[in-house]
Amino acid sequence: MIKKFKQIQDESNRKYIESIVGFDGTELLFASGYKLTIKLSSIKITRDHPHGYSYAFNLFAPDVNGNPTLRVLATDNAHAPIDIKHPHDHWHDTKYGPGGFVPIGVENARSIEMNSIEHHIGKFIQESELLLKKLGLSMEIIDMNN
Amino acid sequence: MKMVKKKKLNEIPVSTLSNVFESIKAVGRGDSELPNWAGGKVYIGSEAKQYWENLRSDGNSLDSFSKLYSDNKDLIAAIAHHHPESISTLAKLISREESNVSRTLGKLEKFGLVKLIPSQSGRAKRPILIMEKVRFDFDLLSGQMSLTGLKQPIAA
Repeated sequence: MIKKFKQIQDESNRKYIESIVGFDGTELLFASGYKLTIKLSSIKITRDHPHGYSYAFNLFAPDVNGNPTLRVLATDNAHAPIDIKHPHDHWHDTKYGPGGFVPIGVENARSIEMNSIEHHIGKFIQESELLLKKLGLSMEIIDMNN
Repeated sequence: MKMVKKKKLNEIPVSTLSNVFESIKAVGRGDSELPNWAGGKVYIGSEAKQYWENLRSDGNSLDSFSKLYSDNKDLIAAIAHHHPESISTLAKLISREESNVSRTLGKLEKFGLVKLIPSQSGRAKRPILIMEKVRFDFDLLSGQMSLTGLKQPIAA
């Protein structure tokens, strides 16, 4: 797998990597008070990070003061998920509160396969939209296929 | 690795999620330059702009201070009485998550009530209480509030 992903960081893809990590630090601010953040950087390829990216995409819900401090959906590769040791790519699903469809935080990490960083960003944005739609806070769902 | 430089924005742009994702894909394909909002903030829809501007203007309101104070009396007292060496020590003292304590300290810091002092070795920051007694100045028309310190703790 490492050999496969080493190709991603070869010279022909260097421009792509430099461009895509330019989205690091982006914050998408929703009218519902939710905030989606993108952290992304290029790192050395290892067994834990076979694609050569360090990333964290988070969706925060507003707290009682309206500030987006409650993490309710996330994917990152900062640590090993609970089910496998390598690679570190994982997803934190939303926890829901008792008696209502209200997110209260994130579940334990479950491992996922991450093949393309831009597709992964798109997937996270789409899952965030689906969560907001369930809560009646968004109607737009991005099209991943076009 | 050389980073692509981005233009600084004075205003936060308004966009849709579809447009944001299309931009990411276009940059990934090499069809487009990095948009000037990359690495910054983007309002998703014009209603979002209204919400976030209102939220910013409420940052120093009496209500937000009152709520912050009443939720964190234990934290303030722990800093004053135990002088914790780091945020993690403080979190353990009051049995709260370190990330939660860190966020709260950031808010108290904005009000000028605490300060985070970097340690000489490592990344740990020591929280100290700057004010022990404060005076409120409240503008009835704008709803904005400011604090003036009247008494500083001895250990600060």
